[in-house]
Amino acid sequence: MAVHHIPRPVRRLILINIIWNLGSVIGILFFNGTHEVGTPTYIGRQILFGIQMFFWIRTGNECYSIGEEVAFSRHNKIRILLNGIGSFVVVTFTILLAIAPEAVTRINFLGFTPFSERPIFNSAILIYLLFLLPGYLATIFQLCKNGMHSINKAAAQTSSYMAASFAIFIAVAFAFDIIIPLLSGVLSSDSETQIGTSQILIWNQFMAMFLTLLCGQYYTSVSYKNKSSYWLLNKLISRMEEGIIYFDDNGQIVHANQGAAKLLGISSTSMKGKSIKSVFPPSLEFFRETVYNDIRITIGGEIHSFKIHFFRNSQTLTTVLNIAFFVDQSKTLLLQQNLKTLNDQYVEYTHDLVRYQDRLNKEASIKAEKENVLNTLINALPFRVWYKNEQGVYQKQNQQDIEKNGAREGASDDPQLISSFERDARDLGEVRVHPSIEDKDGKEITQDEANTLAKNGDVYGFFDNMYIPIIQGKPPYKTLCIKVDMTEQRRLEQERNMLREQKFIHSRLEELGTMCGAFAHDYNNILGSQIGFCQLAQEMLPEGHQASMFIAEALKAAQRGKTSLEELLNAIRGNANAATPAMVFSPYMIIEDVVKKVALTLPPTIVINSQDLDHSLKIKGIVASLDRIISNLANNAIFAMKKTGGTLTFKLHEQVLEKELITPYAPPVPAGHYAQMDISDTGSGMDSGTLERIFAPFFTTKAPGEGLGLGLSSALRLLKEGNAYFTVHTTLGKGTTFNLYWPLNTETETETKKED
Amino acid sequence: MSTILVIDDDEQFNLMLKSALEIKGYTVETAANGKDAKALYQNKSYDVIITDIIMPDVDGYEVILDLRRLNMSDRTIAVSGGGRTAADDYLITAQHFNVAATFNKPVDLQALRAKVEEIIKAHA
Repeated sequence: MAVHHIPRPVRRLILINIIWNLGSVIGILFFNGTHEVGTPTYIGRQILFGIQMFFWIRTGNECYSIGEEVAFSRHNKIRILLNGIGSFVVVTFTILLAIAPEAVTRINFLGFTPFSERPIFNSAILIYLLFLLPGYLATIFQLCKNGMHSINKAAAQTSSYMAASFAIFIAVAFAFDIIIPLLSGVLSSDSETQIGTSQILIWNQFMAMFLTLLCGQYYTSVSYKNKSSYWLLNKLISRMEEGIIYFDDNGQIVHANQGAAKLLGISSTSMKGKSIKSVFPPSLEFFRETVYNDIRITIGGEIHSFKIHFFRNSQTLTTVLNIAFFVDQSKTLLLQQNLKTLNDQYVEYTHDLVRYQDRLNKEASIKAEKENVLNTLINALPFRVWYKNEQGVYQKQNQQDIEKNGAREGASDDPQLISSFERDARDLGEVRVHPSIEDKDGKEITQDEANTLAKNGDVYGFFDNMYIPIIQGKPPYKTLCIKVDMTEQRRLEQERNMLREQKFIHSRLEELGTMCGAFAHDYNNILGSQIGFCQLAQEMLPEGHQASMFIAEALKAAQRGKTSLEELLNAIRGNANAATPAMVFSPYMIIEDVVKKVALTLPPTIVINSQDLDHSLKIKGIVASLDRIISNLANNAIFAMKKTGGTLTFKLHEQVLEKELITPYAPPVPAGHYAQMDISDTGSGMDSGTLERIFAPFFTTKAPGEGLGLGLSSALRLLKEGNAYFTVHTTLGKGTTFNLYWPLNTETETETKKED
Repeated sequence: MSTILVIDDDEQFNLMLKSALEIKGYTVETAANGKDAKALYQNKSYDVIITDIIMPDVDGYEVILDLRRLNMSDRTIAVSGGGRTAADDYLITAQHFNVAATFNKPVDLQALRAKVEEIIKAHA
């Protein structure tokens, strides 16, 4: 421990002890024995004695100072005054005793001469009693008081122990140094030696050392105890946020900590001395150990809620310290409320989080489903689809495009190969449609090049290309591209057009034939009459009559007219057949054409069903003939259902007959490979008599004016021409079904091409 | 004295046949269509009826079918000058209805008169 950690009074005590003892050692070494008054040894001894005394008179005061330092905590200046007076007295006595001891012995104090005997001893006793003993006694008193008043039990014990030790040391030293020498009469035996003795207060000298040790010990124990507990407690109380107020039994406030001042808004010094009732509501029981919750006090216009503990601490038998310990709960309540709100919010947030997560999951699953639907859709599309971003990089392709073009996702096309149509869509945001012809490697070619390829029998295709910009923001845009293979459609279109043309030519020629036929019929009649009349005239005229020759000539001319008329008719009929030769075609097209034609004038009660048509079948024959047959049968069927309404069903499928098919009312159908066409109605049906005659010309069940009855007979003739057959099934009131058996074309396609 | 009915929409043809048959001593009556003819043959019986096929207002087929109902098919002769299709077509159908004979126009008068004579003789 460094020297400066030792308190000043203790340091002074150590110094006093050193000088005192050093003085004694010097005295024993150099001034031992008795000395004559006035000799230098005597004077030196008295001076040494004075110096020692000058210091030891301070011992009591310094002890008290230590008490002040550690326990009493109240500094007074009396010590300095006493020291000053003591020093003066010591110096005065020392000088007088050194120079004129007789003068001292003669000092008369109210007729009493205290120094007439043993002047040195007595003066020392006097100084001891006046200046040293009061310090000792004050110290003992304060220690006792402190010990009784202290809250801290340990401190009280220390103080009591100290007081007792002090009292015993001082009492022992007093007894041995003063009482015993006086009573024993050791001093009174020789007045000479009495003057010269240096053995004064020797016990006190030793006890002072003990006292010094004791003071040091006390200081350390008490001060450290204070620092560690009482002092710490005070410090804590002063720093506490909670309020603590000490008040005595009269309700007067002794102490209030900073927390109390802060909570109540009154400074702690101004609170001191006030009544506790002025601080808290006067109705409270201040002197019982109780706890109050929710005491409302208005501070600065705001109502605060306090929780207040009152409790008592008996300090001594007579003094009691009342303590009010209080907390502002309004803040706590507010915080609790905030905490509750926050907690509720937190719970709400967690719920929200769960909900958001749910929604997120749902959205994700919807998105995944949409994506799945989209992918399925674009893969199911019967054409190529791909999608490029603004920079022309492939983003998505459907399966068809991947098969044709390879997986190009993330790649982009050579800018030079990108068509102007696609660029327009991307840069201008305009939808572009553009038909193209491509060779088998996907390279675009001209119509002429395509024709050359066709001539060589090479493969090429027709495509419809569509570039659709996805407008969003500013150009360039993302583009959706669609490529539809139109080759098959183009081929079918061509075939259909050709069939229509055939039918058209045939019908025009037939019209001409019909016209000529009507003309021939009339002209035949005319010629017939002429010939008849000529023959009659020849009969009437006598043989060899000159006119007979003229009539014979007229007859010859009429015959010639008839011949040339027949030639004309034959020429027209032959041409019609030559212009529309038999060819290979898909019969479903004819059926669909007929359906379209009859649908135009179909009564609303009749429904046509033509779902079940095999598109792959090919037959060879005259297109117009099949059209006529189907049309006739369809018209008859519709006529049969005119009143009742019903369904007209067309079917087309392949039929293999292993053996000859024999049915009533129709010629037998030989075994073979056929395209079977069924035309069924749900109309009135036919009786057997009608059935027998249905294919006779002019046979009709129609009312006069509704038809000539030529339909079925000509149909039969056309079937014969086409080498085809039919069967018929009918039930009265249920309907009729005609089955046509047309031989399938078994020639390969290349052969057909060459033929064309 | 036998009576013959000639049905044709061509007046000249009617006149020609009438003259040709009257020379042979038959009584001949004519009608321009099936409707007029029906009025005649319903009130009076004829030994032979010669009819054209294609006529306005009840055609030859109806006449033939009507006469068949009257059991007069074997007294009926069908005559046709042809039309849209070959004249054979109509006459084949007429044969189907069991007429006595069919003739193409222009008619061979000798053959026709022979047939008429044959029918009358058959019913005498």
